[in-house]
Amino acid sequence: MKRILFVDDDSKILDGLRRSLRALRFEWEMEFAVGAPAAIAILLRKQFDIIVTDMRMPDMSGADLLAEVAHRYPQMIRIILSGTWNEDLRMQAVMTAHQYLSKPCDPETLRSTIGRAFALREVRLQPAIKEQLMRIGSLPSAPLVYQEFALALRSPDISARAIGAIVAKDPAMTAKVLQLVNSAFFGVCRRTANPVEAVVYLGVDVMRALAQSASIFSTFDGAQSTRSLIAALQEHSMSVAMKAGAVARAMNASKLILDDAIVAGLLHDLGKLVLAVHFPSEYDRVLATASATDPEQLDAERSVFETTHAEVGGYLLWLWGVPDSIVEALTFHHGPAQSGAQDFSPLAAVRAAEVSD
Amino acid sequence: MRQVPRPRRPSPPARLLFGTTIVVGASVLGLVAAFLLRQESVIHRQYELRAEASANAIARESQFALLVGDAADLKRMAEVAVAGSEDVLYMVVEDASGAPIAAAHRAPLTARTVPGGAGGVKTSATRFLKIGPNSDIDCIEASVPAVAQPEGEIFSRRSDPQPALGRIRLGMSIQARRAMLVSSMRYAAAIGVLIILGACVVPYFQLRQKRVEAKFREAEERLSFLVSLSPAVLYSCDCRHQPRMTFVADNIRQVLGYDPEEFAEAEFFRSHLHPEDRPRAETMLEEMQHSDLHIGEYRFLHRDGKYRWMQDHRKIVPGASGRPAQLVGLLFDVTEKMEAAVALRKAHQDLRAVIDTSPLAIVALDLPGIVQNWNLAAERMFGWRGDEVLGRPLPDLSDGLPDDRLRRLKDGETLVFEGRRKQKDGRPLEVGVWAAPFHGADGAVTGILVEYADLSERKLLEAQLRQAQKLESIGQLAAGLAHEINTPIQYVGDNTRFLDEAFRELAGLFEAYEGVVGAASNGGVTPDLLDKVNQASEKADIVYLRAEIPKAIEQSLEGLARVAQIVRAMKEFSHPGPAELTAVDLNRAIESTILVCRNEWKYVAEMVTEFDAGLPLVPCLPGEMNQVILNLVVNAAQAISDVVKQRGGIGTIKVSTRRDGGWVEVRIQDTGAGIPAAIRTRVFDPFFTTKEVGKGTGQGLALAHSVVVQRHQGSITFETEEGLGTVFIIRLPLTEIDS
Repeated sequence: MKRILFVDDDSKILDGLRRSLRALRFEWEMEFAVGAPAAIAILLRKQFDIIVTDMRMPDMSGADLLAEVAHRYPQMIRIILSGTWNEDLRMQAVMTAHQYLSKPCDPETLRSTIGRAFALREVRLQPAIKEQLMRIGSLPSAPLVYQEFALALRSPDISARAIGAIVAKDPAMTAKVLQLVNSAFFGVCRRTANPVEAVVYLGVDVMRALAQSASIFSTFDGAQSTRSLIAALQEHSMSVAMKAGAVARAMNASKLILDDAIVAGLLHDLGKLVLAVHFPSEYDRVLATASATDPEQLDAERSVFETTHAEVGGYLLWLWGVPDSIVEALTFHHGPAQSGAQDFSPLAAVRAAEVSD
Repeated sequence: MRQVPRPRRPSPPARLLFGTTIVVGASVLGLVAAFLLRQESVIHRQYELRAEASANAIARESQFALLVGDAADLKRMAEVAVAGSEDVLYMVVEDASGAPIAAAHRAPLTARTVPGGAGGVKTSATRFLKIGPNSDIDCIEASVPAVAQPEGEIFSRRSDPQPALGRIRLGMSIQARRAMLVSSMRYAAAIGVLIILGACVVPYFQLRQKRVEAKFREAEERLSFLVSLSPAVLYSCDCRHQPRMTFVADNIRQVLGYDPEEFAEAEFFRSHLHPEDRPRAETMLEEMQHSDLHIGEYRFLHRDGKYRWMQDHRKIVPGASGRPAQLVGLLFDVTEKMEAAVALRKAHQDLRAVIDTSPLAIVALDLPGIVQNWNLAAERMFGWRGDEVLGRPLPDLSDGLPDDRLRRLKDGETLVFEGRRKQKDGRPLEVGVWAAPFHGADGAVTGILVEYADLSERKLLEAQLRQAQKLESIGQLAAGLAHEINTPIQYVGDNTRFLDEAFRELAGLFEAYEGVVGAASNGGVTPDLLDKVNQASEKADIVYLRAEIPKAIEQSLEGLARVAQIVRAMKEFSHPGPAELTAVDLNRAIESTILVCRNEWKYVAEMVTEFDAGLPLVPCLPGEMNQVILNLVVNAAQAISDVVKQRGGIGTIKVSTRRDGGWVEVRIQDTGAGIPAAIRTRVFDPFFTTKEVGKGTGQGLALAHSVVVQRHQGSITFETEEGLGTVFIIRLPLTEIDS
């Protein structure tokens, strides 16, 4: 049974949710908590896959509740459902919530978002990796790109487009802004795969606030080997992104598919970043055991992590509500046969780009 | 070239000449005197010689020697001699023995003169001549007063050497003799006097010379002292041909840093003039022909490389021909003066510029009200140009300053007020006026300074500011309002979705019911049909639906009512409303405002309202009064929020209205931290805020104050206690409003 906990300080909201989701009562086990303390009490006696909470509540804000949940129940998927327009509050949710839904949220979006999140239950990953992926708020950027980004924000009259161009060079920052924009963290959610568009949509002020808020955008300050790895990954990702874009253009792909292809190219090795940063010793073993016959070290990854970087990257982006086409391109970029796609897709572009790189 | 000016005084050679002349003159005079002193004998000799000459002449003519001549010849000779000289009274020729042989005399000789006459003439011894019986001269016995008797000897020319033959005696008139003496004496006296004079005058002149020299020296010392102290440089210049400096005083060194000798060079003066001043300096020189003393100014290059302003006082000195020969001048360094003058001029210009640049119309009036100053802003503001009003009475800008104000100004008071003034074309102008008397040196009021600020823009800005503030709060409220509206929309949507699904589930049940109803009308309800109904009813979860549907509908209606209420409150709140006082249901207005900002307070405070149900309609500017209430409620919520953040829990905002005689009182009370004593006086100051940057503009309470006090003639006060909270009290007058 899929278990979901709804939290709101307004019981009418909960009543409404209960009624509108009643049709799913045989698939989902739903609990409704009036306020954060009640939610914490329920969590003590029962396990849930997903928590959906209001943001602004008198005793404890939704962001604080989610921080608590992330700490105590890391395997839970955390979603905000809030009507607040207060940017400070929204900023607090950036690192603790995986996805953000705005009130009023139509029942279809709510159901599909929750349904999509439940799908992650089916992904088989080591619990440690899963929990780690659930905990991740953001990933470290390549040092040079991060410096350029920080410098650009210091300039008082920098344009959003210019910032977007910098963000679009870096897989970590791109993944984060796509999460924020494709979910409703800063306003109504907007489906986009283009990081420049995403930054323009967020605006310079929000980007500055995000940059100032600790650790949303950052660079890795651990082992030197990992740092070089991150830099190398970023360069490889940029190269694949450009090639994927070139392939898509050559195929006369639509703007939508072109964007998807480029960003999928940029993000295709996001899983490597996650594994290298959060499982450094295991990842070292992968690097050590990877053989010449295994250029993408898939076998090595499988033997160490029982999964591949493709699946890890796909899982994270899925969790973050990034559009399916990109998640699909990521997850299956080493095995197109697994995807049922027939037409030209971002996946095909990434495949072609990766093979040629 | 280098000379020191001196008073005129003989040069040493001239002095020598002078002395020599005196000495030589005196010597000559002495010699002359000595010579003259011997004159008597000389005269005697002269006469003797003359007589002798006569005798000789007689002798030569007669061819006879005197010795051999007869007595007649001698007599004739004597007569000739006597006749030949007026001074000769008689002539006696004697022979060697002393016997007269011939004689002649003048007739008057016979007159006896009385010896010892009144003239005091001393008669000298008289000798009577006795000429023998042969002689015609028988009686020269007449006493001849004071007759001199020069004697001569007669010699024969025949023999050589000849013994004296006889003697000739000449009787000279005493007058002649005396005259001779007097003349001699005169000469002598004159010479003596001259000698004495010479002896006296030379030392006198020498003394005088010394005194004059001493005076000259003194004068010279004084002069050189003066010159050395004087800042002025004396110079002279030969201006006959090519003007050329002939003299420059030493103090040029101090003044311009050059040596006087340097000025000798022909082009030196001209080349050191400031290029701009050269033409002028030359023109000055030409003008000099016509004017006696000329004063001009020009810049001259100092040795240190900086230009100095020189003032040149100069004068043409004509030469012998009467044409200009020399130019004498005094140079003064007037750099400081000129620079001060320039600075003063600049200061004056700057001041003028400041006055003219001021956006305030600055008008100065003397006591009778004549315009003394009218700056550019005044021209712009009122339309009159300076030349139209300066020196004339102030144009009618309004109904005129009331006498009372003028009197108060004259009494030394400064007035600040706002009012309406008239422009030249008659258009009205909103102005702020600042008027103050200004005082002369003796402290008496000599005039009035009035400054007008054009307030039309400010008035417009104030109106815009009020609107902007409202928009700003609407903007701020929008986020909260969105939340307030989003929440009911969310559950109304969910409930409607539920109703939709519930109805579809009920449709099966209705179908079953219809089957039963149809069967019942046919008279045969079979258990099979009833079973169907039960199944359908179970499938539809009818118990749940019957309980839940009414609730869903009720909550949806509530939600819709809530949305409608919020939208209405928003509309009421933000409606600009009439610009004049309108009768307003204050309770309702306050209620709307509280609702509009509910999101601002609901997480920190409980709202308690105590509205006086019997409150009459209050004359209000609804839009502005809503804004005031909003500002105060939001402030209260923020005050409580600060406390709640630290201590947790929830505070209380209490809003109450009540009538108090001719006034309505609105109290907005919070349980915040209170206002610290230090800032209580600044609460209503514009831009004063204790909130962090970006959280508040500091305009809220200032605006509340201006709206309540200025636009409603009400009052706004507060009571506060630190740690307990604050209550703001608004009092609005309930004056009658014309319906």
